[in-house]
Amino acid sequence: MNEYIGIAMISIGIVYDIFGCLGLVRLPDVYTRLQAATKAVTMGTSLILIGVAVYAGIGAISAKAIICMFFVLLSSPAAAHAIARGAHSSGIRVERVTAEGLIGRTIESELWDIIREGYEFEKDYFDHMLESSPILDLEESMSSHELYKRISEILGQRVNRPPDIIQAKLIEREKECTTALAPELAIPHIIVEGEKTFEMLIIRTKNGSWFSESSPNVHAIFVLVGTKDKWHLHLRTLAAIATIVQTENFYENWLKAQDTDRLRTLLRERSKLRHEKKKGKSTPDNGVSRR
Amino acid sequence: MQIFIFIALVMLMLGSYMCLYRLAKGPTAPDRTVAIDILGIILVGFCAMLSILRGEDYYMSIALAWALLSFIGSVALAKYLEGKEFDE
Repeated sequence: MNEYIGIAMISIGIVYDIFGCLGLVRLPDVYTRLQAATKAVTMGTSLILIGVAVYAGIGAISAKAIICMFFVLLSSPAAAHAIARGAHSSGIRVERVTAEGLIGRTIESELWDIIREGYEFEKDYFDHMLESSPILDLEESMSSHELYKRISEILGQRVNRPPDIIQAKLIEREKECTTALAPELAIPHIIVEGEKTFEMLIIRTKNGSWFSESSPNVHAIFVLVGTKDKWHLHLRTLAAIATIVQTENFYENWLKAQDTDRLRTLLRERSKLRHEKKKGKSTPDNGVSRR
Repeated sequence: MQIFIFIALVMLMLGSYMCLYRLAKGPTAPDRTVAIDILGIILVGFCAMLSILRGEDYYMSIALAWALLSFIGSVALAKYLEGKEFDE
């Protein structure tokens, strides 16, 4: 009878062990692997050890099995916690695995607000504009005229001006002097009639778009449209963009981002760095290093 | 009964191969540390199964020692990952 009970417990334990190991192989990052494997395998091995104790009956084997079980139950969560902490402070990030449908803009922006409160920096005008400006992600490569047409359609709606005028102004501006400031960056900016309007459009062109001889492969385009009275915002936005694109590995991450939400998140992160630099505060990479 | 214990040992070996796969593939150091930790715990179960297969209690002693050492090893590796000295 004891043998059958023992074997039943060992079987359940082995099933737990196997599922824990499966989690270790299949899950996407350190933290998920750790939580799947540690819990299931601790449970499984404890059950195996109880099963062995029951199977063997009273004696040396069962005594050692019980001691061993208590030790595994105590030590394995502690070790897992230490590993998770070590992983966190060595800078491993949580993989973003949430289903696309669940990541609404609301969650993203709420999380962002929480982070901002934690770091205690204030939004400046550029951050507000970052939240509201449209982001365009173009897969195919376009000629600059097609690109201007798309830009003027979108911006025409946002600033309530006919698209033709905007398109003409963009082309005129480009003729005067190229707006591609760096091999990978272009900031076309135009002034329209009227007052109290300032809009930004962010474009990522994966395959690059042709601006001029010297910059044939522009990936990041920031289009600024404003009226004369908002000229100071124009300069501040230019300064913010300049600081952001100079941060480390910006273009790599810019090309790697999967969709427009990720692009916005990237810009937000870089914008945050900008604030910290301004404050002259050393950046705590994570909560752990602050004791 | 013998055949059942053999099957159980094979299953545990399968589990430890999965750990070895993760240990080899990585990709980061913490991943490998997790794999070592889990491998240690599974081998404790393996030794326990061996002890009832052979009816010898010294396999259980091996399991006990292994559990102790694997815990200490995991904590040491975690400390290493954290970038600290071991006596902190």
